[in-house]
Amino acid sequence: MTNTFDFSEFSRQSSKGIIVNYFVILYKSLKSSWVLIPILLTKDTSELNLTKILLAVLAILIYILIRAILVYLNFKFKIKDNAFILKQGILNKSNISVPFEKIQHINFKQNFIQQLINVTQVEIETAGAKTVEISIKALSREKAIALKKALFAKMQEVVAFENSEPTKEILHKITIAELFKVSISENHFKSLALLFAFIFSGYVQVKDFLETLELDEKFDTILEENANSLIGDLFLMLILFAVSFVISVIISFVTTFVRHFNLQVSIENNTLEINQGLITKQNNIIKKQKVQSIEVLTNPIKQKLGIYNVIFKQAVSGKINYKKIIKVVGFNKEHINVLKSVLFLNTNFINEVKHKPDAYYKVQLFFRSFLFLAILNIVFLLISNKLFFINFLLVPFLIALVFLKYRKSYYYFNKDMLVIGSGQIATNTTYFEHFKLQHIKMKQTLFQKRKDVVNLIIQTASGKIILPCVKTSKAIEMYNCMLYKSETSTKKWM
Amino acid sequence: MFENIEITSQLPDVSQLDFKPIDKKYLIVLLLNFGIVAIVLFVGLYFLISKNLEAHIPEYTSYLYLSLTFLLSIFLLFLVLGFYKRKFAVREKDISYKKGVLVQSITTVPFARIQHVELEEKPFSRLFKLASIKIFTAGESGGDLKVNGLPKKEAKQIKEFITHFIND
Repeated sequence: MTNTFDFSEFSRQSSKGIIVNYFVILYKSLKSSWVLIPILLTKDTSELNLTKILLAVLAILIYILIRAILVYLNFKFKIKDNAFILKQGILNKSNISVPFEKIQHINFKQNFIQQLINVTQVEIETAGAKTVEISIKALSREKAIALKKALFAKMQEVVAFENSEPTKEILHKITIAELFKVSISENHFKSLALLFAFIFSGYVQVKDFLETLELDEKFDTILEENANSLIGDLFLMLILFAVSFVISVIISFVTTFVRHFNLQVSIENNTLEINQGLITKQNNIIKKQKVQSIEVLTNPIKQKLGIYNVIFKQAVSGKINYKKIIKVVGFNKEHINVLKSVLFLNTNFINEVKHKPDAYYKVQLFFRSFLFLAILNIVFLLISNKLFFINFLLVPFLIALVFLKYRKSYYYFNKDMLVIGSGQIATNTTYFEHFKLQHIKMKQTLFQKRKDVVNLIIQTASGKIILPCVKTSKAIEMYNCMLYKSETSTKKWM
Repeated sequence: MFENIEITSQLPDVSQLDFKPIDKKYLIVLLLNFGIVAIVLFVGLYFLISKNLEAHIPEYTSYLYLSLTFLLSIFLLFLVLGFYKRKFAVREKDISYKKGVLVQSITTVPFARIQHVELEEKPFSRLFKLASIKIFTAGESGGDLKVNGLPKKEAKQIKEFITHFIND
């Protein structure tokens, strides 16, 4: 088979696309009709027999198959003159044409089914007020690459792309051992909290169920017997805690491996390309101009191992309120420096002073912890006054958190960039370029006014950045400077 | 070593900005809105008491009215105080809005980042030929900046000014 494809004529997807369409439609119809299932189950089923049910299911499945085939037959695309043209729709025909200069990037994706039958999903992201996202669900790998190349070639003709010969350089490729390190140093308490929330919500439901079975009386007597010995209780809790901790470590492992397996980051023409994923393979292309801010995350264990995770916060053009966040794990310090130099203009902070929030920020934090504690204690009182002892553990913990939070919050400010440090146990560093500012706000409570400090709230196209308790004079200086930068900049911010 | 100092001191300064108060007539609109809410609340409370609570706790009904009045008058106080804090300023390249009694804030939106502008006329405002300007940027849902109680003519001018700026 030749590797040349003719895109000037209308062509369809790979015939395997029918299978992909089939599952997409099946998934959609299941999703929209699952509410009906309990109704069907609770109905009197004596009148129905198995053959009737099977026939109905079969009819539905055949209907979906026909639909999938029709969707496949009616999905055609070609490249004509200076646009990508897509025809689709069974009854509601639509004809989309995307001029090349509007194409932002082309992503490849493979979900589980697409991997099984070895086809690639091609997504073409476009710019403009009305966003058209084109997704071609099933192309053979060769055709997908050929299409990407053809589109890129045409795009270069039209827009005169930067270099003609892109130099692709692999920045980072994760090994299994590194991924192992990343997983083990994750914040397991986060998955623990998730687990507890899950168990608790499950417990409430199970309890309701048990009540209907009138089993809970027996349970109560067992629980009462155990409750007599406080040591036994503690022991039970410890075991429970240990078991759930082990489970949450496993959860961390599984999620990290599923998401970031085979992670590879490469740099091409100031553009980052990221491939990762075990079940669903993700291919993301991050353009420099689209990155609104990046966040570098680490924690004490990760710092010892020299591991940094990075979150890229992007704004997708057109869809104003749609945030796109891409997480990459297992960078080291040099990687971060390369990233910074690729993404940002001026990362020189050598001459800059490290600024801390005003000491009043600590007062605010203590007050908030106090409020939290007060509310918690009211809840304790309502449940049982024995719980009051938790305060002996909680108070020192909260105090430590406040001091940690204050110690870790700082900012650097130069004439092009802002760097903000935050975090309690983890350490987060956010990098933001002034000219990408959307709007800016200074906020001040009466108490803050007395201390002459304000909160500076920087709105980016992918969320807020808050600088707490900055001295008013400094805040005004930054306010003016950032506004000036974003008003005079002619660079594209999205 | 720090070349920025000189530029910084020459930058347009937000603290030197000449803020303009919004139209005085908007206070009447606010009071009318407040009046309607207050009436609805009192009528609601009256029905709640006469239909339900009076039978159970007749001795507390007057306190209920009193506490509602108290809450509403505090709200009214802050409404009026807050009205005089609402100020705006339009510069060549941005628009700023100031508000707040207990929590004061200044917001500035550069025209270059505005996605679109809306002119809003609510029934009461229309009565007094007033309008609101709603400004949207990327990033947050809803209006990012809303200036209520502008004379309709001025609001239209601002809107046109911004639209012109965006389209250039």
